[in-house]
Amino acid sequence: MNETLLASHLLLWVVVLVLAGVVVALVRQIGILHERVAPVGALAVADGIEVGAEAPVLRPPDLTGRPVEIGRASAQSTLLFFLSPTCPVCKTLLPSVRRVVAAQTEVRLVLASDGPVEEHRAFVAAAGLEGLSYVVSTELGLAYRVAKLPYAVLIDRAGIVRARGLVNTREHVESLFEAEARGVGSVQEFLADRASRERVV
Amino acid sequence: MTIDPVLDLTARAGLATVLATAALHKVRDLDAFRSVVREYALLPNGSERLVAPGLAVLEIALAGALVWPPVRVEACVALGALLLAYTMAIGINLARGRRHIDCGCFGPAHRQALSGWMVWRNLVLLAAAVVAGWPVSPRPLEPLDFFTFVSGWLALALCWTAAARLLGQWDAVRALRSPT
Repeated sequence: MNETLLASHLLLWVVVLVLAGVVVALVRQIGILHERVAPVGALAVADGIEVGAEAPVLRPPDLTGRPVEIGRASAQSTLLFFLSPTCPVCKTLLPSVRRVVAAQTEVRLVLASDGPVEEHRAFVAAAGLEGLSYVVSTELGLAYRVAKLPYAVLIDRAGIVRARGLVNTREHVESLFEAEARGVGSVQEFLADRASRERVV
Repeated sequence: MTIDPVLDLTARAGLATVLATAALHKVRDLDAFRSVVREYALLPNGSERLVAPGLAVLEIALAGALVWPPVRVEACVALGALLLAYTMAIGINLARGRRHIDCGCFGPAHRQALSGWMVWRNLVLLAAAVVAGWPVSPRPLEPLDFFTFVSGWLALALCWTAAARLLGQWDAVRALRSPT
């Protein structure tokens, strides 16, 4: 009997220590997550086309010179992804953007940039972007007041701007579609809306 | 009424560990701790030059005294007084509304704004100090007792670390809940 109790006592202490270690590890991980989750959602910069407004109808040329129609009502929504060959975040984000768009139904991805066409041709070849719409137009960036990159705008089938903002991670890109589904334009609008609902409750 | 020697040993070793780690944080960056003492705004200006290193030395001395059996009762009484002083310092600044200042608990790397739970934490330490200073029943220690003591000490230290970190993240959780 004594030996049984002794064995159980020893075993229980080992288990307690292992569990305590696991708790410490979990708490550390939660701490790291807290540091990283804080700013989630596409950040809408102050100016630009308002969410809910009609997108301007533009026909910027792609790299082959063919015009790409943006902003007119069509069978597909459009995700405009503004990038630059010299922006490292844009490059790392591109595969995620393509995956996110592929996971959605009826969404067309249009990459947009400005500057010399030769640079963009080299970038498309290097990044393996053949087959995607890639427009080069200063006018388009000006119309959406794109000041910081990477920037994305989601235009729905009716040609209405549904969400827009600075996107830095896959979560930000996904949040644009989330925003369309929920009918809120940006993370600020979402937070303000939730705060007002909480005050009512 | 007396307590078992294993409980006494565990309580003293646990308190000594808490004190030693706290002192280590202070000694590592004494300048930062001086400004923490100044921010508490309880002592005349300039006195933090002496008070800050003094507190660190006092904590190390207390940690040593706690594990030295002949002076354990005195060490526990002194620790109780120090804890009460810390708790009052925190309580006064909470009452003043100076919640933004660093508590100085975990060193400058982990700044931690003052909060009500720190008062409760110090009361838990105070209770442990009472246990550590309580009369001990005379009982010869067996080898198994040492195993129990070491395991209990380690488990308490781990749980203490986890609890302190969790409570420290409280502000972040609250910020996530209320975005305004």
